[in-house]
Amino acid sequence: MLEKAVLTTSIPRSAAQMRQYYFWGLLFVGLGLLVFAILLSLASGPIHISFSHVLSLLESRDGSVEDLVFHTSRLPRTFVALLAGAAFAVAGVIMQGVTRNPLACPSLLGINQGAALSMILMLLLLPNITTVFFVPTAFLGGLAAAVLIYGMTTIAGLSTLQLALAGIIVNALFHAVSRALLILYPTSAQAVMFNIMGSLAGRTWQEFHWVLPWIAVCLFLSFFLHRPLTIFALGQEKAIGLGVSARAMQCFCMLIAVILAAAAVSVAGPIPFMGLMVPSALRYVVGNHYKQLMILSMVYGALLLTLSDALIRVMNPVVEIPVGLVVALMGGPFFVFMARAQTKEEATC
Amino acid sequence: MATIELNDISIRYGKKTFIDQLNLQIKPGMISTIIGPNGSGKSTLLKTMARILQPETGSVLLSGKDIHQLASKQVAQQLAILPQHIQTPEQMTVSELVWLGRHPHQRFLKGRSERDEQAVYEALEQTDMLAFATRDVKSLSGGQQQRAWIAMALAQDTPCLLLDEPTTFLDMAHQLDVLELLKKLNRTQQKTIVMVLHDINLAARYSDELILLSNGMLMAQGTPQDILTETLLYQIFNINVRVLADPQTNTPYFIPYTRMMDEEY
Repeated sequence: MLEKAVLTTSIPRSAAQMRQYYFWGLLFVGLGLLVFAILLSLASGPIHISFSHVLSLLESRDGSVEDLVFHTSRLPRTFVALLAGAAFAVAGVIMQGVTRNPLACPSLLGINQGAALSMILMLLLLPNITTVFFVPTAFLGGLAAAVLIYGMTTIAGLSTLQLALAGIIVNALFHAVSRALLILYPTSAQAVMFNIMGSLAGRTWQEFHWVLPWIAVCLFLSFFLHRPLTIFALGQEKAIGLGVSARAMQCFCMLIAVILAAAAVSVAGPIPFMGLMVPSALRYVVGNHYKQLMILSMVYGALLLTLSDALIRVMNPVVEIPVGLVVALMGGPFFVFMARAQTKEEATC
Repeated sequence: MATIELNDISIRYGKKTFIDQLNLQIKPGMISTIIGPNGSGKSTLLKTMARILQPETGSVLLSGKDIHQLASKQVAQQLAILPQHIQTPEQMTVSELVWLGRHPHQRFLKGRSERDEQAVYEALEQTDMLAFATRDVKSLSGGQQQRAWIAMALAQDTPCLLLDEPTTFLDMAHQLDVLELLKKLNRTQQKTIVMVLHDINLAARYSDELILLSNGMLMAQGTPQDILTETLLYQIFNINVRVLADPQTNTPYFIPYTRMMDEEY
């Protein structure tokens, strides 16, 4: 009895309460930064638009050159960045939850490159295809990669790190084929537009419109996955015991994640590590709290991509570095850090 | 009261047979404990009862219905299982964990009902975990963690409770705590409890019925007095024992003396 009294009084705020505070804090900070990133993204580029002009353009059009650039290029590009960023991050959250592997994400499981390859194939073989088929095509490629990885893991029974390795192999394979196709058929303008480094340059309303319904619906659906994902964290046996039809639910979750990643790839290219960095970093604060993790990942995923895309235009407005490269530069060291932490954990188990 | 019945169950992986044409009826409202030597299929049998493993042949009937034909959520309303190896999630409080136990009763898009609140509170109260409700599960001791997991299974509010070695990693005092709690639940709420225990003496003290397995086969089923005999223990465990009656509880217990070597040695 004494022990209990000491234990409860020595902790002024409960762990759950503290997490609530952290969650709201992170959410507001994230949203604030997001507003800044959006403004920066709208302002930066070959033609600079001042912040005050951006704000006035949001209210009413004035027919200037800036106005044209703003409405035909900056606005859609920023919206696409927001959507793709959120989609990559949430896809990462779901994949990590389903595989119970903190290293799982669309790029490390080969989903991104699979989607990219099928996009390039489609653009080369059917150059006149309507944009309606873009996301489904990317999805088929992503699904093929997911099935391939699933086969490798179930047949070989891979560990956490080995799964990531298998993903890298699949990634390299698809990437090589994509590169080869682009070198062999350099004349296809559309295929060249689709940057296999991952880029948001030249995105218009058209891309925004083809990707919006897919990402919006899947982000909405992923919201309802938080409880099954939390239960998966307790292990397969406990999940079945609690009446989550594990196999079916895992497939459904993966399906949503692959659609999200494929849709993002279809407009932004295979930007790596997005789905790894954002959820993993947030997990340090909110743990396996999938409801909070999902909301924060949407915000911070959108933030990371929009801000990166804005910063490359701030650094060099004329010659753009593909945003995928910038994100990869951040993601590489992050992956090493995560992998090290993972190996340590496995060693202590 | 829910009944569990296993008909002609066989489980094989590759060439190895884990359970061999086993028939078993669990008596409702009683504590049944599965005992047997290492590798005799105790956990496999429990997992089969809980539909975690699908048998190659035979069927598991829960109140007369095939468990693999029922919706998983429906089964989860009747039967809760505490597996042996569960992962303690990061950053989850005891009460959040126990709330997950309500999953089979919660409907999609429906909020928490009064019944949910009540079940969670009762589960925490019965396991003496109210004081720890807001603590992170990871920050608790092994015994407290185990009680949190049991509270989660209780919140599931099922007539049947299956537990795989609920006393492993616990010291003597905590082992007794857990078993006393299970006995109390059985006596006050008529819960059917099936568990796997390593310690046969503890099993004999707390069970109404013992299920003795060896090599995936059911060797004997009966009261502790029926099972704890010098001949059966010699046959199954290869040990020479002396069976005595516990002067306080009057249940049988044994003292092992020598291990009998197989004849070829």
